[in-house]
Amino acid sequence: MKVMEIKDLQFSYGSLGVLRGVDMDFYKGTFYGILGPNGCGKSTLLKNLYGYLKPSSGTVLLGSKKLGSMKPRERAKRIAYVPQDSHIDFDYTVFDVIAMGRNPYHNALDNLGSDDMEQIEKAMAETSTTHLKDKSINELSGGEKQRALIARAFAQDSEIILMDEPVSMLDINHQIEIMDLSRSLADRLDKTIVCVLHDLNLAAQYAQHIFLMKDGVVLKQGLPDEILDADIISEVYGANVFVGTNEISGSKIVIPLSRHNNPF
Amino acid sequence: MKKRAGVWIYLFLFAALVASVIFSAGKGSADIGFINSMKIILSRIPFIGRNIDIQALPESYSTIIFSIRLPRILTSILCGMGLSVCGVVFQGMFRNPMADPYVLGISSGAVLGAAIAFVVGTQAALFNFALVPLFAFIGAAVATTVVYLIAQKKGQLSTNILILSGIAIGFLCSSIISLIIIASREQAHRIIFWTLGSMTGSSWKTVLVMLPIILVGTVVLLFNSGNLNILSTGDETAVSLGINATALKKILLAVASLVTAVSVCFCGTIGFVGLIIPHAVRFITGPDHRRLMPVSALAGSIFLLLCDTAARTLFAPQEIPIGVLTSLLGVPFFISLLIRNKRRIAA
Amino acid sequence: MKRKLVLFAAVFMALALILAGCSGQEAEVSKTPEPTPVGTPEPEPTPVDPSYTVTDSQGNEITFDDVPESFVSVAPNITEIVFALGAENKMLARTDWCNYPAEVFDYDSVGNIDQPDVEKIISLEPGVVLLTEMTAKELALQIQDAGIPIFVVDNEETFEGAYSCIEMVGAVLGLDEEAETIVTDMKERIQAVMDKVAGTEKKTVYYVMGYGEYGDYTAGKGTFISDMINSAGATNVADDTEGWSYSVEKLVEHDPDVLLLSMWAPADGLKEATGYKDLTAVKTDMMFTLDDDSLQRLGPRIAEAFETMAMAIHPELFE
Repeated sequence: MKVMEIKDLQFSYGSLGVLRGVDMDFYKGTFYGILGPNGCGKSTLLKNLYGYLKPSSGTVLLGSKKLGSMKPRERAKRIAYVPQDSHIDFDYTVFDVIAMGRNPYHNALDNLGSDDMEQIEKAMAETSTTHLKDKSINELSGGEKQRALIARAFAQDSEIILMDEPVSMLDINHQIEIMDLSRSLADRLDKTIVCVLHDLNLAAQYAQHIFLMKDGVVLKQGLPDEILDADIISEVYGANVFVGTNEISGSKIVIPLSRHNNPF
Repeated sequence: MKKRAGVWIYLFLFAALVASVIFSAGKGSADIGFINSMKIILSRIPFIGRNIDIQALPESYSTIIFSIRLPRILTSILCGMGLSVCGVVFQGMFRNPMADPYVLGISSGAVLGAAIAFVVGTQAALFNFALVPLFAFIGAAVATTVVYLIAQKKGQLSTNILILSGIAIGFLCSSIISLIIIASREQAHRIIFWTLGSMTGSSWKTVLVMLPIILVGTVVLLFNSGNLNILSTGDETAVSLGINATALKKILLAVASLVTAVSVCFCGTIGFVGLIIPHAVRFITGPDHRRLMPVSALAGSIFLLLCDTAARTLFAPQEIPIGVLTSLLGVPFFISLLIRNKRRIAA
Repeated sequence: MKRKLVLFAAVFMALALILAGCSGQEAEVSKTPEPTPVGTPEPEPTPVDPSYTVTDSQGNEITFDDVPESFVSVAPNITEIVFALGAENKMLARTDWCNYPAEVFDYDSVGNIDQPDVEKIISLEPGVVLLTEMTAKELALQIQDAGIPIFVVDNEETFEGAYSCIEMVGAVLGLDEEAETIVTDMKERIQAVMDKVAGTEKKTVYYVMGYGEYGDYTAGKGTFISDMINSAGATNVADDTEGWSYSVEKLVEHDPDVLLLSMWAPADGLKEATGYKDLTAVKTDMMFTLDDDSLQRLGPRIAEAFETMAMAIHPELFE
């Protein structure tokens, strides 16, 4: 079932065109990866989706409704967002932060209702953060913090969760942990995850469908096996790579080649 | 993490406020005495008043209590409340626990306005009300508007640019003020004293102007305390959670600037209250603005009221400028809080 | 949660309104004081009406039913005038800055001139409060609103201005004759000085108000001190500037015959100060310190100050 359709989306910062006509379709319960070199418009695309920026032209449809016609709260009930790294300057507890995910459902002034509590508890359970709930958000490790942010997005009870390079700042052990969690949200709970990724190999391992962007448009899209091809990567990134198979996971593995260490 | 303190903290603070009002009404350089002050105040309350006999007391006592002390008490309460709540708002909005209500050039603009008023001649017409507060308010309003105009771009409001342009305008105003001080040395000490803050000269007219603006402004800000929680975690996050961040920032900025400007134009630029009260209260209530704001409002009003009472009674008939007192009293208190919470802050 | 907030606001508002409401009407702005009791009833069938009207320096007319029995002075020059008129027994308080004559220290003080303690003034219940334009307007208004008349005594800084101040204070306190006497005496003394120096060769003079790291200050053209100098058989070299700021270079250029010093400009320091130490007047020790208070206060000591100044400039005429 299609949950979101992006048609010819364009966005410019002043006269600088960043998105020049993006077309994407998203289906329920799928983990999408968005890849591309720096400046291709990946993050800008997300900002246009969760409402921080307004598209210059084009449409985004959620089901049958246009994104542009939705009020902020309504949109927040349909699309959630997990930032790359959120530095929170105040000592909110993990519970407080996750509870903010319920903002679209009630006036920020009011106390939480039973519905809200249920969703929050579910979010904490899914992300294994229940034992952290009374700690200050700033006391957590990188991985724990990302889990809390994902829990917050989960508490929004939206069909779609956007993630902007969620693991770029994390250590290896936490990276896998977060990617596993994100993928499971798609698999078990039918969420649509749209994940901007920097790391081609993580994308290879976890994404079910990849959009490869360059210069503000989608250059290629498809299964990881199709996209992660040496020629395509060379065309998009301008880099020489060797694409092999990761024997453990069975997915493709991309190895950049340097001038010195090139067997070819 | 501090647990919700519940209704008790409000009851306690409210009782403390009433007690402070009673205490302050009884203190002053005229030796009226606590009991007499109470009699005088109670005698005016509709039903209880009938049973109180104040015939024996000189009429000047009544005048002093009602025309001088009470307006001054109310002004201190309003100013303390206004500055504290605005401090909370600015700290939340700029995501910086070091922000205070003066960060956008409001104080410099107000001092500039007041300086101009002093030079133009407040004595021009002896019976004109409030040339200095009017000019100070205009100065504050102009400065804030300029800061806002510089920072806003296509409807978007960048907090970083706001702060930077606030600093720039602040410097500009300070330079002009220095020029004014050099050019008219006779007014120099008046201008400087004004910047240190003072509640002297508050009248019922002052209260009449301050009360509606500060009270309504505070209520509006309080109603946005929940939204401020979310905004304080970041603009992008706030938007993704369904908050119209730009509209919210504009409302908060406008109302908080107005409340601060009104407080400053009548009372001078009293430093420290808007920075430290939110900070200190945050140690007790935690960062949830739905609790932080109202508690800061009450705590701030009590603090400034007691400071003003001390300012006008400690060395009577001399008056200590209240800004000096707020710093002297507040800094040790804050340092002790810092020491007790060192580990938490360093984390 | 919302309900709590509304409750909070409502209670606060109520509290404030109660306090505001029960303050009742402010004491009306009245220019007449409460009637002061006249002394022993006159046995005559037609008593003389003791009421009178006076006008202060701002043009406000105040009518008194009888001479005020008490008053407060909020300026040093007014205090001096009061003592000169012999009315100090009716004075209830003065300011911290009042220091002449020495008896003034027996009196209570109301604090600063510009921000006096209004509560204290009101609690003393004086018949009138004498002040200058230095006192903050809001405070003056507060006193007035409390039913106590205020009388502003402020004039130009000239001999005429000083006479005016003395006459006004005298008028308020019902001591017009005494005031006249003082003024006449002052006029005679000042005229005597001017007669003495008439025809003498004028000396060049510079008034050192301040020097050193805080800047160089003097009395420029148009100031009272400059006018006094120019009337005392001398020329003020600083007349080429208006205002109070001067430059040491210009002063060295002028090299005046005599230096008159304020009490902020000690003579010893001048002997070491750059520029000043090379002046003829400094080297020949033609430096005289004048008393600031009597020179700057518009009061009875102006004549004395003028005399002292002339004596410093032309000692040879005053053997």
